[in-house]
Amino acid sequence: MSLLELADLAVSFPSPDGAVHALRGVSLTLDPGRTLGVVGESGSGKSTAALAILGLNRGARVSGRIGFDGQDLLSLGEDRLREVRGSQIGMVFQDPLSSLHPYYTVGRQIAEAIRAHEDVGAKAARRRAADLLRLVGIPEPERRADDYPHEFSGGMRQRVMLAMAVALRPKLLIADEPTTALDATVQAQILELIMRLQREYGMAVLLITHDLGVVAAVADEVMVMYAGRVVESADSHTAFHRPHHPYTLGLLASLPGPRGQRLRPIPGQPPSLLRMPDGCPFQPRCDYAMHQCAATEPPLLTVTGGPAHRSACWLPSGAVGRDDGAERIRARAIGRKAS
Amino acid sequence: MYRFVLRRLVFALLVLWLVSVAVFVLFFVAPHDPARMIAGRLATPETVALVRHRLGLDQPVLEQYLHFLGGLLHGDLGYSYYNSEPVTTLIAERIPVTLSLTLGAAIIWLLLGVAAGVIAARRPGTVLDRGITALVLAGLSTPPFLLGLLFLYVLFFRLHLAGVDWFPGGGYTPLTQDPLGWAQHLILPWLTLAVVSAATYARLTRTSLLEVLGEDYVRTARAKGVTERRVVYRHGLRAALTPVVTQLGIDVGTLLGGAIVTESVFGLPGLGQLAVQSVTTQDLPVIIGIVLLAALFIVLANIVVDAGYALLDPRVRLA
Repeated sequence: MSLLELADLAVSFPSPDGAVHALRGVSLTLDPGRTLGVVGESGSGKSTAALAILGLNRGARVSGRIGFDGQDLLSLGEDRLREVRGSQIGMVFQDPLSSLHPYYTVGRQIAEAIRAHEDVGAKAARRRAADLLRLVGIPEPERRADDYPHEFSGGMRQRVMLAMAVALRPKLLIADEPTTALDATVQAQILELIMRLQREYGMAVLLITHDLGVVAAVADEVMVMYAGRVVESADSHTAFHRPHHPYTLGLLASLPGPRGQRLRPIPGQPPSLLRMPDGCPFQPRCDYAMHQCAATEPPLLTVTGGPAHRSACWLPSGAVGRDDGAERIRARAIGRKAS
Repeated sequence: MYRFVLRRLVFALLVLWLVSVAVFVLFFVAPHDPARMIAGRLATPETVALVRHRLGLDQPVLEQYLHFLGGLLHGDLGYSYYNSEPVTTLIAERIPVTLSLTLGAAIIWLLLGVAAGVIAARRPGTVLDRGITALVLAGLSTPPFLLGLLFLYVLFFRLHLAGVDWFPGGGYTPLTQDPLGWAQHLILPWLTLAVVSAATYARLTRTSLLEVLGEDYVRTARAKGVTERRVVYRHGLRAALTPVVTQLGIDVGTLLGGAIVTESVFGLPGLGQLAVQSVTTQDLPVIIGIVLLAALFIVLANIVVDAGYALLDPRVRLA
């Protein structure tokens, strides 16, 4: 049975210019102990989805189903949901400096997470906080527990955030761009730490990032999001080697190549979430756009790339991969000569 | 910390000295003659000259200033031109009044203002929030003298006519003599001062708390499963109070120099009233004394605010 199951999750924010549709019907499943990488540009709805799971989107209108460990989080009352937050689902955010309270010591902030769910004394909670700091690799944890967040380096702060997130051995860890604000060398250390914690605690990890390299390193499955929808989902290997959706292709092509190839950025901007264009939202930026694309938004359908490989694109289901064969199928579909 | 306080105190002395010079210079530039005023309109030039000599006003300005400065260093502000009492005595008599008025009012406006601000910020956009915002606007746009007079009319005059004497129409009773009478005399002045400030503090608290509640660390607290109550008070309000504390220091410091309007309306013998009196009678030593004291309060308030800032926020290191 899957641990997390989002079904047709939609989130919109009221604004003076009308509703902003941040998420438009997102479904996903995540099994215990597995890692799902969610990829997409800024504004694609990745973070909104993560926050929606914990009910942390303030002022949002949320519909659909958020199944977690046998219960629907959307139908839980605020008090019951609060019991899930932090204890069964831990979360780390992008910027560890702004995510930690500047006025309290890190030990106290970790202890607070423990005491929010367990009836333990201040001293015991503090001892556990120090143990957790040791677990995430902070030297001299007993002493550092009394330091304030601004007295730590960026990487150390993210370790503190992780210590806080896993303090109660949650079943699911949501990591929202956990390495984006960090130096490249520190990024790898944090990813390794996340994977180690995942192994030790048997957690499932929902990893949200715009960095395909990060996903390639740790994710079992990949979900690509665009304009509030899932456009492609597959296991990690399929997503990288036999992608179907032109947006996934574009993301892969915009990665730095091994031999100093030129980067190929995706032209244009994502559409406004206020006024979504008709048809496929990616169609204005798509090299393979057809008449049909501008008329109807493609549903997320199974393609022949691999097991549980799904893509929201009108291109033939056999047009998977980055090779010439796939390119020929795509070219034929849009009536263009393959080059 | 000690170095910080020491440095600030030295700086404060410099400010006070500059203020004393400025007041002194202003007084000699202004077209007036205290000797003539004291001697009266019918006095002969000889009498006026005699008065002037007795006041030391016939000496060169620089000498007068040095004399004044010498006295100041010994805690001696000279004598009032009019009732020949030492300025320090005159001021000391009035400090308890102004202190009672200011601190009492500050407690009321702080409680009212912060509470209203928190209520509004927790439910932004609701009827409650809008209601508080409307009250804030009304409070901000009501001049204290009008409010004071209204209080007097309704709560003193009308009640008095109805045979109820809860609130006296003015005056002051020392706390040590009669605590109840002290509070009775001060309650209307307190409210008068507090209403306007409570409005400012409500707005300040609302804005500040709303901003803080949107911070990432508040989101983290919620993600930890901390109760909403704790999120608002422990994580939100503590950080949101920093600008409130700053404002409080400045306001209390300013009011301690004399709440002129409120003291006048309620006939409270405080520093503000003394200031008005001494300005109308051109009583230079008293004016200088009050101005110096007011400046001292403001400078001290600033030091206290900065020190409090460091206590509130561990990122602030006093250096």
